[in-house]
Amino acid sequence: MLRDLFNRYRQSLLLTLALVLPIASMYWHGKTRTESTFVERGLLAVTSPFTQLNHDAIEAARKLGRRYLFLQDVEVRAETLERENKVLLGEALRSRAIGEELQRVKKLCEFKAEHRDFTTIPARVIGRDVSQFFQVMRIKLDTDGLAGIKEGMAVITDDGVVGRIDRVAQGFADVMLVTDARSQVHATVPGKGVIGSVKGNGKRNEFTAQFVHLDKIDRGAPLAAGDAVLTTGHDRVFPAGLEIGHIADAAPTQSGPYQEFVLAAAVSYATLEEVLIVTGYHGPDADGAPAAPVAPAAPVENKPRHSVDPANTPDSPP
Amino acid sequence: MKPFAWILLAFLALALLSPLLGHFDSQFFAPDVALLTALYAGSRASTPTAVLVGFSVGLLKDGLSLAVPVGLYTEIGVLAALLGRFLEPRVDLRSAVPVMATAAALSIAATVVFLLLEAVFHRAFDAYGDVLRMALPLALITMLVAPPWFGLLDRVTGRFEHPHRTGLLGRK
Repeated sequence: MLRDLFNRYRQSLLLTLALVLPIASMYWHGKTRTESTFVERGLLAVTSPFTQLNHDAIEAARKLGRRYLFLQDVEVRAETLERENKVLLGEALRSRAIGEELQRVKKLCEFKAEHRDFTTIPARVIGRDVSQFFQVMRIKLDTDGLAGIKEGMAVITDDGVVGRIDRVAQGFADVMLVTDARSQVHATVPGKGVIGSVKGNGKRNEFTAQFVHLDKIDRGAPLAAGDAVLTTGHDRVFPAGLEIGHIADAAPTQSGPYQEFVLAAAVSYATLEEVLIVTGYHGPDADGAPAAPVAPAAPVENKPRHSVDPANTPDSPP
Repeated sequence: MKPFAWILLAFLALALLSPLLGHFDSQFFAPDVALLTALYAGSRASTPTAVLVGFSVGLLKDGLSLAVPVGLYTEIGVLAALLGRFLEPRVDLRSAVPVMATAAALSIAATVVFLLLEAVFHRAFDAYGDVLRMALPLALITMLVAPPWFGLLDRVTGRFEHPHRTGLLGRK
């Protein structure tokens, strides 16, 4: 009975349901609600995977087209990347330079901390070889230390001796390198029983040392290539114990009581960036022991060759 | 099997068209494939089948556009299927021009129904101006897509029916 009734009105029932159900659904879902209904969640679950799949397929096709078929924007992108690459390369080089500078400054700081017997101020090298005839470089002085800078002061690095202040003006200074022909530094070779002076010969990284043996007993200890030549501090310009260079050629030239050796500089002047200016140190007394603090000697005007204290320098060779 | 194939095809097209046109910022000009499928079902199948197809594709469209209350496109789908049944003996829905004209008119009518149902059941809806502005472009694109869409569904139908039956895209 019911089955017959259902079969008779099946189409009408279906039509009614098909028209009424959506209206009921709209009535139900049209209200403001904070949570999704089970119908919405069900529809989302059914449709979302297909939507995602289609979206991914379209994305893949679009990328494929752009990358391999149309090559859109490739040239522009390449130019952009090239520009960015140059900028990044510049930044990398700057970072590397800063890193190297930090290393140098760190070494200078350590050097300064190890040598508390003399006071220094830092300066930055801004130019080199301003003269074709003299071994000179120009440095920019730290403004904090400007007042204390005087001509004749020693300029050093953690590697060794650089030279001495030749001229000072307007926050800049010219440094006469130890390789300059006018330069003379009192020197010794530790453990060899020799004393003498190092003189520049105007060549860039080469100069000579003239040594005399202090007594006959020590003559048995010949100087060898690679022996470090250090300052004695007797010239009252350079603190004692700083390396000037090392003996490049162990075969000396005899010049009266002196033996003349060719030296190689301890400092690479070509790559020098930061230096220390010795503004005061505790110079040694006559016995070589530390004495009361003294200021570095001022150079003799117009006679830089004689800026070394003659009293502390061996007799000049004939 | 035919109705399931139509529903599946319509669903795939619905899911495909929106993201595809979205890449060109033209998702609003997607043809109303659900409407066309319901109309096609009404013109090619019995009333219960057509109503079921209209109901299903409408419900799937509701699922793909949850911004409207669930049931809105379902209702439009059922109405379109019934309209298809009504027009089937009166209009030649196997020729391109009548199909295009019917699709355009049906699209505009669907927009009107959409606005009415939104006004009644969706209090938060306030984009009437946008819907009205889109009504004609949507009708135009639906009209243009209608013949090839009917042809495609005819081809699918041909897989299940007699091979000598003629459709919009020729003999199967």
